[in-house]
Amino acid sequence: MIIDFQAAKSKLNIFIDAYLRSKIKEKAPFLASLKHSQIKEGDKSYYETEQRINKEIKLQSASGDFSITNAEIKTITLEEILIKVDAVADSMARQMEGGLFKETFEAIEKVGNIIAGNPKLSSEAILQGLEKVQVNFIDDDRSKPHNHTIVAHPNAIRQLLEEGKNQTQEEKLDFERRREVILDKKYEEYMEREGKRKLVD
Amino acid sequence: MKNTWKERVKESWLINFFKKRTKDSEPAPRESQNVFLERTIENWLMSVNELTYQFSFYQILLSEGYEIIYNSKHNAFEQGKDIVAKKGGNVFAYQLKGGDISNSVWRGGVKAECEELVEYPIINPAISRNTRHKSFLVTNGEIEDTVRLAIDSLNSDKWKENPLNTITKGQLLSRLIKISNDFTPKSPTDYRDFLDLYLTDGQGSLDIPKYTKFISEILQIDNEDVYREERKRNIATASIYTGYIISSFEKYNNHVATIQTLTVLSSYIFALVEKFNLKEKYWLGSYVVIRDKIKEASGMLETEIVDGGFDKMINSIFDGEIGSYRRSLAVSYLLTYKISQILDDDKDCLDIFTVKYFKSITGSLLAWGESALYAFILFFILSIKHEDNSDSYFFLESALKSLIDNNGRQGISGLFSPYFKIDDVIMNNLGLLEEPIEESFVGGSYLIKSIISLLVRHQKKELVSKYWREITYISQLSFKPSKAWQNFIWHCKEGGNTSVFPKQTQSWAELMKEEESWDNKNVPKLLQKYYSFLPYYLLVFPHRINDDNIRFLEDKTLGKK
Repeated sequence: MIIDFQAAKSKLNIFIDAYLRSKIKEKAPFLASLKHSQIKEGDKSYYETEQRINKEIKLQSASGDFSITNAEIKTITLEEILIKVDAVADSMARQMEGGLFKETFEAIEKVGNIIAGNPKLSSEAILQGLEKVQVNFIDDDRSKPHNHTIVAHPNAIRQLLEEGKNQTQEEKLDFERRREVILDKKYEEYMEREGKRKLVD
Repeated sequence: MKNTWKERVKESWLINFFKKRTKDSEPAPRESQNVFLERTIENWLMSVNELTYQFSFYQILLSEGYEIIYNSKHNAFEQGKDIVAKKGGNVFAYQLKGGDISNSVWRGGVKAECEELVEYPIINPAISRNTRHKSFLVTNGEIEDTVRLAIDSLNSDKWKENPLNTITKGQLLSRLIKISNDFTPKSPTDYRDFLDLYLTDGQGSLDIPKYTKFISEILQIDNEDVYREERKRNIATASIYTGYIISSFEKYNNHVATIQTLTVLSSYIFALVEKFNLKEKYWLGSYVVIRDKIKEASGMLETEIVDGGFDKMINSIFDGEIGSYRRSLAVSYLLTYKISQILDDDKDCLDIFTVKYFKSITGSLLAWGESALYAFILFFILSIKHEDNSDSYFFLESALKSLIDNNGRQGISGLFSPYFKIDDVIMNNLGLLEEPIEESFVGGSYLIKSIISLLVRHQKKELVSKYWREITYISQLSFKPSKAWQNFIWHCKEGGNTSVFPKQTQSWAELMKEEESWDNKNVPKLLQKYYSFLPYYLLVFPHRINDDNIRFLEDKTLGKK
């Protein structure tokens, strides 16, 4: 055979793998921001609910592929391979983040945490949302609520920022006042919840 | 450090490979592979001492159908006999030596030992007192002609009734090659795996995934159609190959890696036994010698630590950083040995044991990952065994606190799960991994349930209550293989991962009831029977640590039930 450079090819394989993963992270920023852990063995995953019911976690697969023709393979450059990998990353990121949002939406819908009427993203909608979600407080300190993350289309975020810019000082103070009232209530709920985390006789 | 012996091995393979190919001028990959293997074995045999090849010699005898009666630990009670075996109604006694036996070596002590070997009867309950035995002097070197003449002379006179036989390098080599050839690596990848393992640096850890892949091939774990006698030979062959592999570690007195390798081998033998329901006659002999070898290496580790090994171990400017991991790992192996000795009713378990001494060395324990917390648990069990006082709970509470601080709601990335080896953790913590570990371990723990269970068993309600709120934020993780035999496999494809959050409001009475009603049905049967192996198994397979195994280990160590 003609002399080959397998070590270099192996390194390139590792590089492509790392490149694909970094691209998926880039293209699925919400997913990338979440804490994640890997399943090292086994083929099934379960969790037990508070009612001690065992439920299986349905694992979903995400995949992508690219093809290189016989003619291409003789001349394709690394740069051209990376363009193909980019497309795969794009497809996998969509599948993964899409799956995540689908599952999340189903769970939210199930517990009824949906704001009726599907309003546009606004200060009002944020307060309505805050009313519905559970809030934790760092170090049990009322002044340190765990802030939430808004995931929305860039246009919706732009509109929200625009709204903020156009608000009068009075409107801003009113928003803050209403937010604080909700957080007071949330703090009470939090302390009640936390009070239940205890060992009893 | 340059390993000239390794270079010699490579050189000798190349020479032989070249000779073979040019002589036959035909491609002969299979034969060439055997030449490689034979040269490797020869090189190994020439480079080891009698302590190292005794393990393999024992396995040769087993595979040849001998029943082993006695395997010495090289103490004063040997009476010239390192191994005593039976076959077909005959009894055989062996004295093992390393290297060439020259006249001066013969006169310097070997002769006296051979006199004991030949003349002293075997005192063993398995052999009637007047049974005559056949005596063998075994060496991995040669016996000089003058010594042969001396032996011949004794054989025709004083030892006429029970002459001394000899086994030298050539005979030993051909028997080793014969059994090694029982497993001929099927593919170049198998060969490469073996060579990688055999030519390893010798100073670090075993490459467990590579070793388990290799050993699974020899043991034919996935092959259902193997006769039981063949399984017995496969176990002996796997042990012999392991003997080659651990010689790299033994060269450096790297006892931790030796113990690690033999523990994995034992576990894979258990997998085979469990899967194919093998009777003891097919595997126990091999297992016993592996277990003895683990103990021997553990004893040597203990001696090294007691003799100031932690002060002498420094060999690089980086030991300020890496030394703490080295010490921590060594202490966890020592604690494991001590527990195993207690389980074996070994009176030597008390030789270095004082709570004060152990407290001094357990200062070296480092919570580098969840696996490291196992040593904290062992120390707790040991101190409870010897001195049940409030200090005993310090390490258990430290382990719990470490989990809460790292894996609890305030944690940043969490303690590495038991699936990560110390090597990976060191590399990651020092930023040396090409791809840093990005997983988060916050919010879950594989060991927390075991720790809580121990506290509940010892009625430490106040301690559990103090931490309960934070405990509720940590999901209790576990893995259960689909089949019992898979417990003994490094990682299994089939099985379920489970995550359980503790109840937010938990009744103490309920926790107590759970402990009181616990039974050992979830502990693998083989570990219940051969329980002195359990501490080693959990040390090397930390991802198999669970509350059931820990409860069982504690009960056995404390002599409960």
